[in-house]
Amino acid sequence: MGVESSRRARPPGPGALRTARARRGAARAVAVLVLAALPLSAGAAWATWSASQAVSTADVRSGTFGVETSWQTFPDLAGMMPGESRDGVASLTHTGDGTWRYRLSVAYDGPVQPTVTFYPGPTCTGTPLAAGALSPQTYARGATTQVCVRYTLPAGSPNAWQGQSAQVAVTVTLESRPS
Amino acid sequence: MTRAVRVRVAAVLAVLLALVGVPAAAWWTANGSLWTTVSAGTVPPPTATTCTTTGSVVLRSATVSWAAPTPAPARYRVTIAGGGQSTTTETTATQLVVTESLLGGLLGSILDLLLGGTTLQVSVQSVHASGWTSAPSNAVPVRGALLAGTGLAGVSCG
Repeated sequence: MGVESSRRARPPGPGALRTARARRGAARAVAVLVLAALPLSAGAAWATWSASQAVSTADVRSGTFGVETSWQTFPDLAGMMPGESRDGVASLTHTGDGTWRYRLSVAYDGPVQPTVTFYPGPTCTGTPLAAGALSPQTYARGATTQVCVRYTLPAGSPNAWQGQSAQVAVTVTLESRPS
Repeated sequence: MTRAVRVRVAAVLAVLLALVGVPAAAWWTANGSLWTTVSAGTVPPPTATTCTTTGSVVLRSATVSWAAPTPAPARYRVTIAGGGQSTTTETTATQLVVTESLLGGLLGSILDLLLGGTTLQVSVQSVHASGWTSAPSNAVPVRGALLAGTGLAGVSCG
Protein backbone atom coordinates (compact mmCIF):
# COMPACT_ATOMS: atom_id res chain seq x y z
CA MET A 1 0.00 0.00 0.00
CA GLY A 2 1.47 3.10 -1.07
CA VAL A 3 1.68 6.02 0.95
CA GLU A 4 0.49 8.91 -0.78
CA SER A 5 1.85 12.00 0.25
CA SER A 6 0.90 15.12 -1.14
CA ARG A 7 2.71 18.30 -0.51
CA ARG A 8 0.95 21.29 -1.33
CA ALA A 9 2.67 24.58 -1.75
CA ARG A 10 1.89 26.69 1.12
CA PRO A 11 3.05 30.21 1.90
CA PRO A 12 5.96 30.15 4.34
CA GLY A 13 5.15 30.87 7.85
CA PRO A 14 6.75 33.47 10.16
CA GLY A 15 9.34 30.99 11.45
CA ALA A 16 10.58 30.21 7.97
CA LEU A 17 11.02 33.90 7.20
CA ARG A 18 13.17 34.42 10.32
CA THR A 19 15.32 31.49 9.35
CA ALA A 20 15.93 32.84 5.87
CA ARG A 21 16.90 36.26 7.19
CA ALA A 22 19.30 34.72 9.66
CA ARG A 23 20.95 32.74 6.94
CA ARG A 24 21.39 35.77 4.76
CA GLY A 25 22.86 37.70 7.66
CA ALA A 26 25.28 34.94 8.44
CA ALA A 27 26.33 34.78 4.80
CA ARG A 28 27.02 38.50 4.79
CA ALA A 29 29.08 38.24 7.93
CA VAL A 30 31.14 35.46 6.48
CA ALA A 31 31.71 37.50 3.32
CA VAL A 32 32.87 40.48 5.31
CA LEU A 33 35.25 38.36 7.32
CA VAL A 34 36.67 36.77 4.22
CA LEU A 35 37.18 40.12 2.53
CA ALA A 36 38.77 41.52 5.64
CA ALA A 37 41.08 38.58 6.01
CA LEU A 38 42.20 38.59 2.39
CA PRO A 39 44.87 41.28 2.74
CA LEU A 40 46.28 39.47 5.72
CA SER A 41 46.47 36.11 4.19
CA ALA A 42 47.19 36.93 0.58
CA GLY A 43 50.38 39.00 0.98
CA ALA A 44 53.07 37.97 -1.44
CA ALA A 45 56.61 37.50 -0.30
CA TRP A 46 58.98 40.23 -1.53
CA ALA A 47 62.55 41.32 -1.13
CA THR A 48 64.82 44.12 -2.38
CA TRP A 49 68.53 44.39 -2.79
CA SER A 50 70.40 47.30 -1.39
CA ALA A 51 73.91 48.58 -1.54
CA SER A 52 75.66 51.41 0.33
CA GLN A 53 79.08 53.01 0.47
CA ALA A 54 80.47 55.88 2.50
CA VAL A 55 81.17 58.77 0.14
CA SER A 56 83.97 60.32 2.13
CA THR A 57 84.84 61.33 5.64
CA ALA A 58 84.25 64.98 6.42
CA ASP A 59 85.46 66.89 9.45
CA VAL A 60 82.98 69.33 10.85
CA ARG A 61 84.71 71.98 12.87
CA SER A 62 83.00 74.93 14.49
CA GLY A 63 84.71 78.27 14.05
CA THR A 64 85.99 80.62 16.70
CA PHE A 65 84.96 84.18 17.36
CA GLY A 66 86.67 86.68 19.59
CA VAL A 67 87.69 90.29 20.04
CA GLU A 68 90.74 92.09 21.36
CA THR A 69 90.31 95.66 22.58
CA SER A 70 92.87 98.27 23.53
CA TRP A 71 93.28 102.01 23.71
CA GLN A 72 95.04 103.41 20.69
CA THR A 73 94.81 106.83 22.33
CA PHE A 74 94.16 106.69 26.04
CA PRO A 75 91.67 109.31 27.20
CA ASP A 76 92.91 111.53 30.02
CA LEU A 77 89.78 112.20 32.01
CA ALA A 78 91.34 113.78 35.08
CA GLY A 79 90.00 117.05 36.45
CA MET A 80 87.11 117.47 34.03
CA MET A 81 84.89 120.49 34.44
CA PRO A 82 81.25 120.89 33.33
CA GLY A 83 80.91 121.39 29.60
CA GLU A 84 84.35 119.94 28.91
CA SER A 85 84.99 117.06 26.48
CA ARG A 86 87.93 114.68 26.17
CA ASP A 87 88.51 112.05 23.46
CA GLY A 88 90.05 108.60 23.31
CA VAL A 89 90.46 106.14 20.44
CA ALA A 90 89.70 102.48 21.00
CA SER A 91 91.06 99.75 18.75
CA LEU A 92 88.96 96.63 18.05
CA THR A 93 90.52 93.56 16.49
CA HIS A 94 88.51 90.52 15.53
CA THR A 95 89.94 87.08 16.09
CA GLY A 96 88.55 83.89 14.61
CA ASP A 97 86.16 83.29 11.76
CA GLY A 98 83.40 85.05 9.93
CA THR A 99 82.45 88.61 9.16
CA TRP A 100 81.27 90.85 11.94
CA ARG A 101 79.76 94.06 13.18
CA TYR A 102 79.85 95.64 16.61
CA ARG A 103 77.79 97.36 19.27
CA LEU A 104 79.03 99.64 22.05
CA SER A 105 77.72 100.31 25.52
CA VAL A 106 78.85 102.26 28.55
CA ALA A 107 78.62 101.58 32.28
CA TYR A 108 79.59 103.65 35.30
CA ASP A 109 80.85 102.79 38.74
CA GLY A 110 80.88 105.96 40.77
CA PRO A 111 79.04 109.26 41.16
CA VAL A 112 80.54 111.10 38.20
CA GLN A 113 78.80 110.15 34.97
CA PRO A 114 80.09 111.85 31.84
CA THR A 115 78.15 111.55 28.63
CA VAL A 116 79.88 109.11 26.27
CA THR A 117 79.52 109.46 22.51
CA PHE A 118 80.88 106.95 19.99
CA TYR A 119 82.15 107.76 16.50
CA PRO A 120 83.12 104.94 14.12
CA GLY A 121 86.67 105.68 13.02
CA PRO A 122 89.78 107.25 14.53
CA THR A 123 88.36 110.79 14.88
CA CYS A 124 85.38 112.07 16.78
CA THR A 125 83.70 113.52 13.72
CA GLY A 126 80.76 112.60 11.56
CA THR A 127 77.63 110.81 12.61
CA PRO A 128 77.86 109.29 16.07
CA LEU A 129 76.86 105.70 16.70
CA ALA A 130 74.24 105.43 19.41
CA ALA A 131 74.97 103.14 22.31
CA GLY A 132 73.52 99.70 21.59
CA ALA A 133 73.21 100.32 17.86
CA LEU A 134 74.82 98.00 15.33
CA SER A 135 77.80 99.44 13.49
CA PRO A 136 76.92 100.62 9.99
CA GLN A 137 79.74 98.66 8.38
CA THR A 138 80.42 94.92 8.22
CA TYR A 139 84.05 93.98 8.75
CA ALA A 140 86.10 91.11 7.39
CA ARG A 141 87.56 88.23 9.33
CA GLY A 142 90.49 89.40 11.45
CA ALA A 143 89.95 93.06 10.66
CA THR A 144 90.88 95.90 13.00
CA THR A 145 88.90 99.09 13.30
CA GLN A 146 88.90 102.15 15.52
CA VAL A 147 86.20 103.87 17.50
CA CYS A 148 86.60 107.40 18.78
CA VAL A 149 85.08 107.79 22.24
CA ARG A 150 84.16 111.26 23.45
CA TYR A 151 83.56 111.88 27.17
CA THR A 152 81.66 115.03 28.05
CA LEU A 153 80.88 116.27 31.52
CA PRO A 154 77.44 117.84 31.07
CA ALA A 155 77.17 121.58 31.59
CA GLY A 156 74.52 121.03 34.23
CA SER A 157 76.55 118.60 36.30
CA PRO A 158 75.81 118.97 40.00
CA ASN A 159 78.23 120.93 42.16
CA ALA A 160 78.53 117.85 44.40
CA TRP A 161 80.52 116.08 41.66
CA GLN A 162 83.51 118.34 42.35
CA GLY A 163 86.54 116.26 43.24
CA GLN A 164 84.63 112.98 42.79
CA SER A 165 85.65 110.19 40.44
CA ALA A 166 84.18 107.12 38.76
CA GLN A 167 85.17 104.15 36.68
CA VAL A 168 83.73 104.22 33.18
CA ALA A 169 83.60 101.03 31.11
CA VAL A 170 83.12 100.97 27.38
CA THR A 171 82.04 97.49 26.34
CA VAL A 172 82.44 96.33 22.75
CA THR A 173 80.28 93.46 21.58
CA LEU A 174 81.19 91.86 18.27
CA GLU A 175 78.48 89.90 16.49
CA SER A 176 79.06 87.46 13.66
CA ARG A 177 77.05 88.83 10.79
CA PRO A 178 76.97 87.89 7.14
CA SER A 179 78.49 90.43 4.81
CA MET B 1 28.91 88.01 7.26
CA THR B 2 27.33 86.19 10.12
CA ARG B 3 28.94 85.74 13.47
CA ALA B 4 29.54 82.07 12.83
CA VAL B 5 31.31 82.82 9.56
CA ARG B 6 33.45 85.45 11.20
CA VAL B 7 34.44 83.03 13.92
CA ARG B 8 35.39 80.43 11.33
CA VAL B 9 37.44 82.93 9.33
CA ALA B 10 39.26 84.03 12.46
CA ALA B 11 39.97 80.44 13.40
CA VAL B 12 41.35 79.66 9.94
CA LEU B 13 43.56 82.77 10.04
CA ALA B 14 44.85 81.81 13.47
CA VAL B 15 45.76 78.34 12.24
CA LEU B 16 47.50 79.78 9.17
CA LEU B 17 49.47 82.22 11.32
CA ALA B 18 50.55 79.41 13.58
CA LEU B 19 51.76 77.44 10.60
CA VAL B 20 53.82 80.29 9.15
CA GLY B 21 57.35 79.85 10.43
CA VAL B 22 59.63 82.69 11.40
CA PRO B 23 63.19 82.06 10.33
CA ALA B 24 65.51 81.71 13.27
CA ALA B 25 68.40 84.17 13.45
CA ALA B 26 71.47 83.48 15.54
CA TRP B 27 75.01 84.72 15.68
CA TRP B 28 78.04 84.48 17.82
CA THR B 29 79.16 87.30 20.04
CA ALA B 30 82.36 88.31 21.74
CA ASN B 31 82.83 91.04 24.33
CA GLY B 32 85.70 93.26 25.38
CA SER B 33 85.73 96.18 27.81
CA LEU B 34 87.93 99.23 28.16
CA TRP B 35 88.01 100.91 31.53
CA THR B 36 88.96 104.49 32.31
CA THR B 37 88.82 106.63 35.41
CA VAL B 38 87.09 109.95 35.17
CA SER B 39 87.51 112.55 37.86
CA ALA B 40 85.74 115.86 38.13
CA GLY B 41 87.83 118.91 38.77
CA THR B 42 87.44 121.33 41.61
CA VAL B 43 87.02 125.08 41.60
CA PRO B 44 89.88 126.57 43.60
CA PRO B 45 88.94 129.20 46.18
CA PRO B 46 90.50 132.65 46.30
CA THR B 47 93.55 132.97 48.49
CA ALA B 48 94.98 135.56 50.82
CA THR B 49 91.74 137.24 51.73
CA THR B 50 92.45 140.38 53.70
CA CYS B 51 90.56 143.38 55.02
CA THR B 52 91.80 146.96 54.97
CA THR B 53 90.01 149.89 56.53
CA THR B 54 89.80 152.72 54.05
CA GLY B 55 87.94 155.96 53.57
CA SER B 56 87.93 159.18 55.51
CA VAL B 57 87.91 159.55 59.25
CA VAL B 58 84.24 160.42 59.29
CA LEU B 59 83.18 157.85 56.77
CA ARG B 60 85.13 154.64 56.89
CA SER B 61 84.76 151.56 54.76
CA ALA B 62 86.25 148.07 54.81
CA THR B 63 87.98 146.95 51.64
CA VAL B 64 88.09 143.14 51.42
CA SER B 65 90.65 141.87 48.90
CA TRP B 66 91.75 138.44 47.74
CA ALA B 67 94.08 136.83 45.25
CA ALA B 68 92.78 135.08 42.17
CA PRO B 69 93.39 131.34 42.10
CA THR B 70 94.69 129.43 39.10
CA PRO B 71 92.78 128.94 36.90
CA ALA B 72 90.96 132.17 37.45
CA PRO B 73 87.21 131.77 37.90
CA ALA B 74 84.53 133.55 35.95
CA ARG B 75 83.56 135.62 38.98
CA TYR B 76 83.53 135.72 42.77
CA ARG B 77 80.73 135.38 45.26
CA VAL B 78 81.15 137.38 48.49
CA THR B 79 79.14 136.29 51.49
CA ILE B 80 78.54 138.56 54.47
CA ALA B 81 77.14 136.75 57.47
CA GLY B 82 76.42 137.39 61.12
CA GLY B 83 73.79 136.90 63.77
CA GLY B 84 72.33 133.92 61.94
CA GLN B 85 71.76 135.87 58.73
CA SER B 86 73.70 136.15 55.52
CA THR B 87 73.64 137.85 52.17
CA THR B 88 75.73 137.53 49.01
CA THR B 89 76.91 139.67 46.15
CA GLU B 90 78.96 138.78 43.10
CA THR B 91 81.82 140.60 41.40
CA THR B 92 84.45 139.98 38.78
CA ALA B 93 87.00 142.10 40.65
CA THR B 94 89.33 140.80 43.34
CA GLN B 95 88.09 143.17 46.00
CA LEU B 96 84.89 144.50 47.49
CA VAL B 97 84.44 147.75 49.36
CA VAL B 98 82.00 147.13 52.19
CA THR B 99 80.03 150.24 53.12
CA GLU B 100 76.83 150.96 54.99
CA SER B 101 75.04 151.66 51.76
CA LEU B 102 76.21 148.36 50.27
CA LEU B 103 75.00 146.41 53.28
CA GLY B 104 71.71 148.27 53.36
CA GLY B 105 71.19 147.53 49.69
CA LEU B 106 71.89 143.84 50.13
CA LEU B 107 69.96 143.09 53.29
CA GLY B 108 68.60 145.68 55.69
CA SER B 109 68.74 143.37 58.65
CA ILE B 110 72.45 142.78 58.11
CA LEU B 111 73.03 146.51 58.30
CA ASP B 112 70.91 146.60 61.44
CA LEU B 113 73.13 143.93 62.96
CA LEU B 114 76.21 145.99 62.10
CA LEU B 115 74.68 149.12 63.57
CA GLY B 116 73.82 147.11 66.65
CA GLY B 117 77.46 146.25 67.15
CA THR B 118 77.56 142.76 65.65
CA THR B 119 80.75 141.77 63.93
CA LEU B 120 80.12 140.37 60.45
CA GLN B 121 82.22 137.76 58.65
CA VAL B 122 83.10 138.25 54.99
CA SER B 123 84.19 135.27 52.89
CA VAL B 124 84.74 134.81 49.17
CA GLN B 125 84.10 131.90 46.78
CA SER B 126 85.24 131.41 43.21
CA VAL B 127 82.46 130.76 40.72
CA HIS B 128 83.24 128.70 37.60
CA ALA B 129 81.54 129.54 34.32
CA SER B 130 79.45 126.38 34.71
CA GLY B 131 78.09 127.59 38.02
CA TRP B 132 80.23 125.34 40.16
CA THR B 133 81.46 127.18 43.24
CA SER B 134 84.57 126.71 45.31
CA ALA B 135 84.88 126.25 48.99
CA PRO B 136 84.86 129.63 50.80
CA SER B 137 88.07 131.44 51.48
CA ASN B 138 89.11 132.34 54.96
CA ALA B 139 86.68 134.84 56.47
CA VAL B 140 87.64 138.31 57.57
CA PRO B 141 85.63 140.29 60.16
CA VAL B 142 84.09 143.73 59.66
CA ARG B 143 82.24 145.89 62.17
CA GLY B 144 80.77 149.27 62.57
CA ALA B 145 83.35 152.04 62.76
CA LEU B 146 82.86 154.23 65.78
CA LEU B 147 83.98 157.78 65.87
CA ALA B 148 84.45 159.16 69.33
CA GLY B 149 81.70 161.55 70.25
CA THR B 150 79.72 161.15 67.07
CA GLY B 151 78.76 157.50 67.01
CA LEU B 152 78.87 155.30 63.90
CA ALA B 153 81.14 156.42 61.09
CA GLY B 154 80.95 153.64 58.50
CA VAL B 155 82.44 150.15 58.40
CA SER B 156 85.87 149.06 59.48
CA CYS B 157 87.86 145.88 59.63
CA GLY B 158 88.28 143.76 62.74
